[in-house]
Amino acid sequence: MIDALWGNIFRRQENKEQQIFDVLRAVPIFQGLSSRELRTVQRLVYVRHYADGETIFSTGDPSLGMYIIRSGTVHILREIPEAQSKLIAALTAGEFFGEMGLIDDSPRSATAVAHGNTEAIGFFKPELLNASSRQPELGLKIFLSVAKTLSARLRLTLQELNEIYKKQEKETDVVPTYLR
Amino acid sequence: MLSRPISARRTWTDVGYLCAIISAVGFLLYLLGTILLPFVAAGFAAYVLTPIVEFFERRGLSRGAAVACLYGFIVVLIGGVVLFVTPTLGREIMALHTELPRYYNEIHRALILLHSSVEQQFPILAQFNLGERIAQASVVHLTEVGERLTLNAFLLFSALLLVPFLTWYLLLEGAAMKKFLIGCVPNAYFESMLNLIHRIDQHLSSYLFGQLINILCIGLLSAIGYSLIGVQFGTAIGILSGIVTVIPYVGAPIGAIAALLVSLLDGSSISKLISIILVSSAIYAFDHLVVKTVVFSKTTDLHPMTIILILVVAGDLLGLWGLLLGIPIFCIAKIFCEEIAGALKRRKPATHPIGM
Repeated sequence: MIDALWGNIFRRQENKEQQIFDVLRAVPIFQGLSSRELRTVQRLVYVRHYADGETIFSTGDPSLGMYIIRSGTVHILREIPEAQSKLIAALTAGEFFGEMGLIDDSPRSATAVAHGNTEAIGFFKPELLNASSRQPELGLKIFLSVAKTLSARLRLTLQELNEIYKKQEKETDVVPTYLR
Repeated sequence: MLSRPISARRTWTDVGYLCAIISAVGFLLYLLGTILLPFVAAGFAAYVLTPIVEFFERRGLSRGAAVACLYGFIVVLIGGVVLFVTPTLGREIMALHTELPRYYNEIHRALILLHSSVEQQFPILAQFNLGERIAQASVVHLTEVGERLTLNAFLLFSALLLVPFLTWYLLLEGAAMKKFLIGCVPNAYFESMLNLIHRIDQHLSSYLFGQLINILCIGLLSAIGYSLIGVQFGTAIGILSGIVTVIPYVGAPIGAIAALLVSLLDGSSISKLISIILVSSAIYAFDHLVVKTVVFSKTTDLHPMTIILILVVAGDLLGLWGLLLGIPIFCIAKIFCEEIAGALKRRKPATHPIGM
């Protein structure tokens, strides 16, 4: 009976490890990595549990890294001075946020709050930098993926901005500064 | 639903709890100091040797193979030291042991002469009987040092058996242990703690590894330099110079003073004394212009007066250990205080969002 119990504990641990591996594999940033490299990343991540309403990070906090939602929901809020915060996005399981923290040292530009009991996998820059010093190719692949993701988002944002200004231009005949 | 606003009072309470935990851990370490010494030494060794392990990992080796390579390299290094350095060092230590009574008598004679001439110049000092007091204090001090060395030799022997064994496992599993400990930190302080540890790691790792390279470079250069110009006990003085070079400002002249003292007691010529000064100056210049510049990627960024103050206070509180560890301990405390101050500044109440 003790052997069965012991075996069951380790089986549960293995199942949990496999689930984390599967979550990481589905993240676009890690899709260029081999299984071995992904196992290395798995050893670097932290699994954090947040209660309903608990703040994951606040606007102005140092950016340390990204979070991947394993279960639950996370609300991303823009804090407005002397007013209530505005909900920007509600992210669910499989989605990720805070990836800019892997690239630069700027403070967080939004607040992330757990909505309901939430489990998130944290992947942080110090761990990435340590891993890069030992396996430079792994670091390069991850940084390149993050850069591609941010680049794609920037293009989308510029496209949307372009459409808004073109619409405004038609209404006001004023050419925006960046289009001149 | 959002959590309640975090008040400044609660933050200060948390800081108080943290200080209490650190004090309790520090007190426990103080009580169990002797027992925990091999573990602390192993942790220190693992921390300093980690860059070498990472060097091997960058060459494609697994962690286990990298640690095995490091140990192989250390065995070869120890073998080299035993074959080439130990005979010379052993001869010098035996010679020093034989010459020590003569050196003591000559220093004692010189001090008596100095004391007499000072008392002739300043008769008022005779009432204080300074000569006898200094002689008594030095005897007591030497006896205490002798007893401590005997006791420490026993501890050193037991630690030498345990430390390599513990260091091996810390090099292999240290990262996982660190991750587990960081994972235990509550969510509210998790990122701050991770950032704090990362900053301390960056500064401390480069500082300690840099000091190790510095000790090896200066020790080797001094041993070779003093031996070449014919200073008696040149190898031993060179090794001493290497070890004390970690003490800023104070360490560098100690080796030169030791070499000058030995040469003076041996009745060496003026030209030899000048050679010693030239060699010491060249080593000091090389240390500051080349070794420290290349090896220390991140400086302590402290004003020289601050460094001197730290050395004086740490030396008074902890003796030799204070001189050796004062600067890194201060840097860690500074980073810790900066993080706490930053966290306190960023504390503000969370507000209810629109649209929930």
